[in-house]
Amino acid sequence: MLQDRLRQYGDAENFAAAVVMAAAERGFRFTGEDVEEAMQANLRAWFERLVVR
Amino acid sequence: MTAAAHLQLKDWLPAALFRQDGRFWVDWVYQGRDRLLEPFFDGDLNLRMHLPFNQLFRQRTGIDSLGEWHELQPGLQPSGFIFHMSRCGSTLLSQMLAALPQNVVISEAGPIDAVLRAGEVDPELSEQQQMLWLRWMISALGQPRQGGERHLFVKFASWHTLLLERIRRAFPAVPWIFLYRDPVEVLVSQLQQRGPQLVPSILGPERFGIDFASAVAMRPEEYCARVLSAICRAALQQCSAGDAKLINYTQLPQAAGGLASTHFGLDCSREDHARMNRRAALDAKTPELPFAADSAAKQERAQQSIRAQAEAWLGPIYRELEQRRTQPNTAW
Repeated sequence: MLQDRLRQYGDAENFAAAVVMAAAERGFRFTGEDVEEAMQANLRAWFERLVVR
Repeated sequence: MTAAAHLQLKDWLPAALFRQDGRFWVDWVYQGRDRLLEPFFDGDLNLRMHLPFNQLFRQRTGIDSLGEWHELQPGLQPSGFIFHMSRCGSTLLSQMLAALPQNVVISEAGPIDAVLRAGEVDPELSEQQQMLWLRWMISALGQPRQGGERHLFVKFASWHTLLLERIRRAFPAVPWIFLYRDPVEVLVSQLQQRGPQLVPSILGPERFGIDFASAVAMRPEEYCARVLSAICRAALQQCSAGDAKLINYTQLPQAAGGLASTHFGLDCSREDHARMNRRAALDAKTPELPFAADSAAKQERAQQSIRAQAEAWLGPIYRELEQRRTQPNTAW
């Protein structure tokens, strides 16, 4: 399963590369930088929510 | 919920509950088969957020999915609830219980706090609905992850003691304890590093019977003492039932093993007791460090203003807790 495959990666760079590859296999195109940017934005939002709470 | 949707919540953990566009939503993170072992739930969540997968992908469901999940995959029935006045050994006790692989321990989980505060966000939410959500949330949090877990313990935030009566209505058969400590020592700790529930701008003081203007105007030691007094009073009002035990910090860690066996119904082996004792030798909140007794140091640091507020607002309540603790139905 795709989720199981992507959860194997403990480092952001290899994970992003795997996401890009999995996306390309399914006809979607974006870069590793796009993925890492999205991860950073999500992390920021996550910790900001904790602070607000 | 379809069978496929059921599979997508397996091994996931509710991380947050919030209201948006008039509805309540649950954010989930992937937990896998890892146990919850950090002193506080937020610590486990932060560990999960180190996984790149969780940084990019999380699930979000409506609150009703919690109910569907509870029907399809109910969590462990709670074996015990831990209520406390803060800074009184509650984390030590929860960590000792978490040291046993047959236990799932939820320690001051944000999603539980969010459920208990949901009525403040949506005043039309009935208590009945809120307590149903609480049962669903505890069920989702209390899933066995490795297959051998048999017992579930929930340590609530200290201010949740104010809601003891309704929590007991939602879980009438679950035994509970209230942990407390010499008020001077608790006050010294809180004034050194205030917990968020003792900051009036973070947790509204009205729930403790104090208006906001008064709360911000009074000295910090008085505010803290009055909040702690409200928490202890709430526990006293509920503890006459046979399902409660009062535990003084001074009884830890020795009382933990017997408490687990007799009050919470655990069948603890010699190895279980050894595990709990090994955990008790470590600092409860920073397990990389050894435990260091600090009561004497706290008593020495207590200024007269702290002692005065402790006696004024907590002295009689503490003495009543001590007196009740030695009564047969609440003694340990």
